[in-house]
Amino acid sequence: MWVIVLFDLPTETHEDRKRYTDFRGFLLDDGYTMMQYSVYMRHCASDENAEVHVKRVKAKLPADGEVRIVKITDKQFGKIEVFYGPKPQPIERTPEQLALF
Amino acid sequence: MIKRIVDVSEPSYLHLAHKQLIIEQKGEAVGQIPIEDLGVLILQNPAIVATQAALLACQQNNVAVVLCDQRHLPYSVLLPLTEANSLHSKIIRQQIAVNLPTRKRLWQQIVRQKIAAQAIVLKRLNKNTVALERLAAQVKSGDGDNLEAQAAQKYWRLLFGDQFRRDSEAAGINSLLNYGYAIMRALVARAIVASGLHPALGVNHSSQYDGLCLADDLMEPFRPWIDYQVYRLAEESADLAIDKRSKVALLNLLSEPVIFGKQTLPLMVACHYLLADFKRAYADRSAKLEYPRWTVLEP
Repeated sequence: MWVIVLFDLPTETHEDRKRYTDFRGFLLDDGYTMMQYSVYMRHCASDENAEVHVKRVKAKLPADGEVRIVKITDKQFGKIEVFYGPKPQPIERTPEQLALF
Repeated sequence: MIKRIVDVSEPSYLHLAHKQLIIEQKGEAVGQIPIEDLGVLILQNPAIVATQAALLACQQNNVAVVLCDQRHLPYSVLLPLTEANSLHSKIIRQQIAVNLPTRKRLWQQIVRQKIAAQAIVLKRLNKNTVALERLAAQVKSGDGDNLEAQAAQKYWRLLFGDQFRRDSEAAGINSLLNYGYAIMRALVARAIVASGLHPALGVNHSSQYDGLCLADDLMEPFRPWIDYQVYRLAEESADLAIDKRSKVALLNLLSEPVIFGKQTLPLMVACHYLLADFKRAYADRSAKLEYPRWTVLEP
């Protein structure tokens, strides 16, 4: 299960930018990685676990601006088509439960 | 929740960024794992450098950090002392106060389950199990007759033949067994610490030089699982070493589905349930302990 958080936050005033940075920092602390600008993703081992991370995002929603939370399965995630210019790129792989580096 | 197992065997720089473990190799980030998703981190290369912030974050999230020696065998485990469980000191006092009869009866059950597990492995491999099944039924409180050792003697001969000797230094089958046991020991130790018990206070093991007596006690019935996996690896190819193939086979055991009570769940999760039961058995001195069963051995 993948959780994807998309956001558009105002950056006019100093406070706006502070809120933006705090929200982005929170996402990284919670284990998200940047997919694109303002789009962050996180893999969760189970549906229950995904719910935990969705709840955490909801608890940290900034006062202004728009935030969308999408939950998709590993299979759906794998079907995302990625392009860099006209060149197709592979989508990030679902992390294995066992990883060797 | 099922946690991730990460094995680092290449020269790497491990550091922390935004509560995530960053693994850098040759100046490039090759991995990024949220610490809270980690369960076991195995480090086995002399050229691994880790920041103390990364190690501390692992401890704060009860990650068992396993350090390996020159032979690639797990040599030590880092486990948190404080805050793994909020009732740590109360539970330790309870653990110290457990009387000898309770400990003896628990040890009886552990040995019985170990011998039974050995018999199941032999049965699965179509070998003679009569002797072991008989011994399992005869284990007395505290195993004063040391049936554990008698069973082991018969078991190794039946499993790997008359020529085989268990050895903690030898190569081949032995080195894989040692690797598997050490990983299993780390997993059990992690569950012990998470339950608030102290791993140095054992049921039967009591060596003053052993910091993980309780883990050594509780992992006994899991040893035959490693034996089975190593047997299978030896069947595939006689050229055995701690390499990628054998590591994947043995490390995957930690997340294998097991039957515990009426549920099927990964071993790593079942271990926490086992420890909860064990703690209850300690507290009310009922000394009833049921081990998970591996679905691969008993379909």
